Formats: sequence, C-alpha cells, structure tokens
Amino acid sequence: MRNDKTKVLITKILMGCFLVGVCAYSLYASEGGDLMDELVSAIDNHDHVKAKEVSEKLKNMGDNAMPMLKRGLTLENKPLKSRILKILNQIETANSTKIILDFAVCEKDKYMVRAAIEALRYPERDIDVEVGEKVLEFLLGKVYEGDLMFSPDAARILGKMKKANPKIRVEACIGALKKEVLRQSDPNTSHKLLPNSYGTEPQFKIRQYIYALGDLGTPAIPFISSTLGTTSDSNLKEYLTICLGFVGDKNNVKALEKILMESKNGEARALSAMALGKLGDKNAIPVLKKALEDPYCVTFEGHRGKSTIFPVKGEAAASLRKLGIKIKWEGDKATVQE
Amino acid sequence: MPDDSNEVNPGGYVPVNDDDDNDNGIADIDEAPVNGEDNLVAISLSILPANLNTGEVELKVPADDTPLRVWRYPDKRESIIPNGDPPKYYKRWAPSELPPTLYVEGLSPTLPGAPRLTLSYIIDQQVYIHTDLVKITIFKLQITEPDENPVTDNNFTFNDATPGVCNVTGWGTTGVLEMDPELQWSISGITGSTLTSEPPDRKGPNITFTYTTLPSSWVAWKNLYLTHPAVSCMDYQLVEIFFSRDATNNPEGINPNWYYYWSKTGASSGTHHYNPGLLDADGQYTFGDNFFEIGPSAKNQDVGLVVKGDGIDNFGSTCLHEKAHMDYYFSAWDPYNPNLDRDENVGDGLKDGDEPGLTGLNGQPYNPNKIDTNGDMYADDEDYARKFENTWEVESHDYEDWANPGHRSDK
Repeated sequence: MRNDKTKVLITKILMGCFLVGVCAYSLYASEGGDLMDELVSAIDNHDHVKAKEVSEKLKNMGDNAMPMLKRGLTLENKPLKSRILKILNQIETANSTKIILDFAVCEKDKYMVRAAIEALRYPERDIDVEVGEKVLEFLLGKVYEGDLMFSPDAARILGKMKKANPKIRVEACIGALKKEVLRQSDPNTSHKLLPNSYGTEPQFKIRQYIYALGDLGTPAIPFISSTLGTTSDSNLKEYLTICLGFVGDKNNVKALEKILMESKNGEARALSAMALGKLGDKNAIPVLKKALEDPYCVTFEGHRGKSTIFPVKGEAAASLRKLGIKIKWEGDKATVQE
Repeated sequence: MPDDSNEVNPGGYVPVNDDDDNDNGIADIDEAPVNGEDNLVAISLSILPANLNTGEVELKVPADDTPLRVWRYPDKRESIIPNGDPPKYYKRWAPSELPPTLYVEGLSPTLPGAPRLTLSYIIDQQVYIHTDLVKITIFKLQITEPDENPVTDNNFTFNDATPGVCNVTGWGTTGVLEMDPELQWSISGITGSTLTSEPPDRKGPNITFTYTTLPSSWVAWKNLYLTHPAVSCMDYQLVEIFFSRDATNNPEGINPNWYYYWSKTGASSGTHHYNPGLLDADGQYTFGDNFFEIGPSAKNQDVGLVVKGDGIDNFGSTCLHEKAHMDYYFSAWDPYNPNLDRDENVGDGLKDGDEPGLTGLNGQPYNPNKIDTNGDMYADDEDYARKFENTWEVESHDYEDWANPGHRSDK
C-alpha cells in the first residue's frame, strides 16, 4: 500500500515537472517566435531602432535563439539574413558557427555568402567545430578560385578550423599561394596598389595565405617543407620559407635571415622580418638591426595625403621590440636605443 | 412594372465578378456565398397596382447560356436565376411575394445590351399580360498593360535627355468594344515634373502619360487608373518610375543621378561631395575637411576587406566608412598632431594614446608602434573605419533605390 502511494506521488511529481517543462518551453518558443516576427517586421518597416533592440534580445538568448535564427535564414529577406548573420557572429558558439557555415554553403547570392564569411572572419577566433565535407569543399573551392572577395578570407577561416584535416587545408592555401606568386611575378602584368593600401592585390592575398598557414601551426610544417623541397620557383621558395617561420619552425631562422638580407623582393623581406619576430629567436637580432636600414618603401594615398611607409624597417623594428630591443624613429630612420 | 427608357437605352451595366472579395484565393465567380461581395448590381422590382392578388410575376433570362446570374442577396445567397435541377432560367412569384430587390452578377463580357432581363405579369400560368424589358451590358473593365507580366513591365524610366522624359503607357478595355472609346485614364503628377498625355483628353483604350523634367525628390510609386463614365468601378495598376542611374539630368544637373538621389535616401550618412576625379577609391576623407568625397565607383561593386554589395549598398557602406574617418578626426584630432601619431614615424591616423583602447575588425587592440597592426597592408585607421562600414546591412535600403539599373529596376 505504501509502495503504491509512493509510486503515485512520484508519478505526480514527474508529471508536474513535465508540465512545468512544457510550459517553460512553450513560453520560450512563443517569445522566440514573436521575437523573430518582430525582427522581420522591424526590418520590413525600416525601423532600425527596433531591429537593433530585438537583435540584442536574440543575441542574449544565445543558443536558445538558434531555431528562430535558422528559420530566419530560410526567408527570402536579405536585410534580415544580413542581420541574423551578425547576431550569430555575436553569439559566437559552436552552434552559431555551424549555422553560419551551413548557410554559406547553401546560399546562392554572392553578397550574402560574403556576409557569412565576414561573420566567420571577424573578430578572429578559432573555429572549434567539426565540419562536414560540404563545408570543407565549399571553403577549399573558394580558396582555389582566387577571387579577392572570397579566397583570402576563406583561407583564413580554413586556417582557424582546428578540427579539420590539416593536409587538405595546407594544400589549398599553398595552391592559392603558388597561383598568386606566379601572378605577381608575371612580367607582363603590372599591379597597382589597392585603394588606401600599401599593397597590391597579389601582395595582399599572399600575406593572407601565409597568415592562414601560420594559423594552421606545426601540423602544417611537413606539408610546407615537402612543397619547398620540390619547387624550383625561387619566389615561391622564399614565401614557403616565410610560411615555415609563421607556423613556428624554429629551424628556419637562418633561411629567413637570408631572405631578409638578400631577397630582391621587398615584400618578402618585410614578411621574413615579421616571421623572425614571431619565432622570437634572439640570434636574429643582428640581422633585424641591419634591416632597419632597408630602403624598401611604398608611397600610398591616405587621409593625410601621400604617405610613405617602409615595410621592412617597420617589421624589423616591431620584431626587435618583441625581442626586447627599444627602437627610436627619427624621420625615416629607425635606430636602436641603447 | 413602370417603364423607363433608361432600361433599354443604354440599359444597365454589370461588371464581371472575377475578383476575390473574401480573399480566399478563389474568384468570386466560382463560389457562393461570398462574404464582402461588392460587385453585384441591385435591380428593383415592383408591380402596380401593389394590391394585385391574382396571377404571377415572372423574371426571366431568355438564353440558357446566359452570361449572368441573379441572386436574392448581395453576398450571393439564394440563386434566383438559374434555380432548380435541371436549372431553370426563370422564376415566378405571386405578386405579393415579389422581392423588392435582386442582385445581378456578371459572368462574362457581352455585346452592349445583349442579355435581356424580362419581368412579366402572367395569368393562368401562360398568358403574358405585360412584359418589361431591361437590357444589360456585362463588362470587364481592366488595364491589360502593364500587368506585371513580365514583372518589370510596370517599370518606366526617365530617359537620359535634358530635361528627362518618362513615358508611362497603358492599354485597357471594358471587354465591350463599343464602350472602349469612352475609357478614361488618370495618373497623379510628380512635383517638379510636367505631366501631359496622348491623347490629351485621356480617353480611349490606350494612353501615354509623359512626365517631363526629373523631380528633386523621388516619388516612385504611381497608380495608373482606368474608369468608364457609364460605370462606377475602376481598375488600377501600380507603376514604378525610375531615373537613369548614370545620366546627369537631375534638377542640379551637375552630378550623376545616382549620387544626387541616393544622397537623399537613408543610405546616405555624413556630409559628402561627389568627386568625379576620385578614380581609385569609392570614397575618400582628407584630414581637416568637414566633408568626405564619394567617387564614381561607389555606384559599382564594393571591393576591399569589407564587401557590402553593389549599387546603393556600396554607396551606403562607403558613406559609413568615410564618415567614421571624419568623425574620428573631429573627435580625436582637429588639428592633426603628428607628434601624437608616431607609429613608425609615419603615423596610422589613430592617436597613439587611443590605440590600445581601440579594437580592430579582428577584435585585437591596435599597436601604437605599428602603422598596420594586423599586417593586412592597410593602415590601422582604415581598419578602424571598416568596423563602421561592417555595420551596413546588404539590401537594407533597396526600397529607396529608384536607379535604373539598380536594385529594384529588375523587379
């Protein structure tokens, strides 16, 4: 008899809990549903204040907002999608990252794809989620295509995907790097500076591919070394050597110093100075000090009219600072402060 | 059954009831009853003397393929003609039971006065003592073009001439050829433009309205109306009017239309000028200026680290970017002091003291010793302005884009 009563009591308690759960879920679902409707309505009515307010609420719901946000991304409403991508970017969880990636893979509009890539790219962070083949294929494809709008950022995202196969990521970045190095060294093509930049398009892309390989870290070393051993292109060899510096291969200091002192390519010298600073090997200090006299400069148009920047000196000075050396600039000259 | 010459000349007009007054996706002609039905035409029936107590009154439509129906109520309840199974095309009542009002529904356009509705007084079930005749014309007043098929056929664009001219053309019909010469068109004017038409009296089955001179602010939505003096209904079609994006025939006549009109939309922010010589960038801010400049390429696709679409999206995001530069200048500098911007002795536009407290697009603070903290080949102030540019939402101002080509002109 007592047992039966206890069973009844337990059953009642469990049912009570279940009902409370159902009510709580219904409340959440209805609020979430309303929030998405509110967001759609605010965007359709161009009520930016309201849209911002609702976005903030959805952001604060974190992973609980995912079903609504996912649903919102299926609607044919680009301003809405654009805003949802921003919310997902701010939520910054594994779930939100996955949704952005899946959206990028399925979306047809290039500007929406771009918005998804920007949402993954900024702010920079490790993308610590398991991704399926479709996502990887999509990103690899974007890297290989070489389009300025997608390729460098897709490479950077690949670099941050810690759980994906390093080999195919390295191969994609090296493939894109090769293509851009070839393009840069083509004597029949001149490359002008990108607007407001001190770099050309190939230079910009090469840097991003190198940074992407740097983000891949030590797992990338054998693949980079293997390509380095087989290529005969001297420009590519230099850049691959720089890549090894960026991934943290400390056996590479001498090769980087050689580039810094002897390369005819100012941009390669600047990157090797940067790589030496990343490696943090004090043996590189004398060479970096010499690099403070490197004449390579680029004049570009900025907000204060024309500015002349000395990329090798600048990077050498920054690397020396990292190694504990004080630097003083006077005019164009950077000198070591004893 | 008092006679009235209007009953046959011109007779009554009844519209085809093919709209959907109850919004259920079914044409009203195909269902009954219809809540909110408003296309049936009332007919009044009476017989004099009012105290007749013998014989019958018969309402009849002669042909079985009649293009009309008669209902007892205006919401299509209780069919009077036809009625029964097999359907009969007449209905008889005792004089005292004759309903005072019935409602006629048009099914398809007819020749003028073709269907004849008769009301007769009969005795002994077959002896017609008197018959009253009403001629009815069933019409379908409609604008046939533009009809949004294809979807852009209601888009009209001012040409590139100065002054600009925009012709809005329309075709319409009642479905009854003889009525069409009296069709009447109208459209509202645009402030700043003159409106003329061909034909000048705006009558007939087709019309060309001509707006001459572009307005100072864009009014893009217009309704083209079609009416007929004999009937009380009308048809209308939304038309969308665009400016030619690259022409310069706006009221100022100096800068291209896209810059002139987009500057008046919510996509615009900050104080800016158009600089046709700015060829290498979509926009530019020069330290010290209290405005920034927008270049010709701001109408095209965005390029750079942050890409926010093309057309009005690029214009809007460029404004945000350049405004960020300008706002920073006036909040941090004014005047610029190179001694407080010593990164690599060249400066990056950001005050060294501010840099550790500011974060870039990548979420990291700026280094006061480096022009380009994140090594992306852009100085830190560019990176700073991109954070603001990045707040632009693609297509958020398409509703204000009346450029052709533009974001609405193909819709």
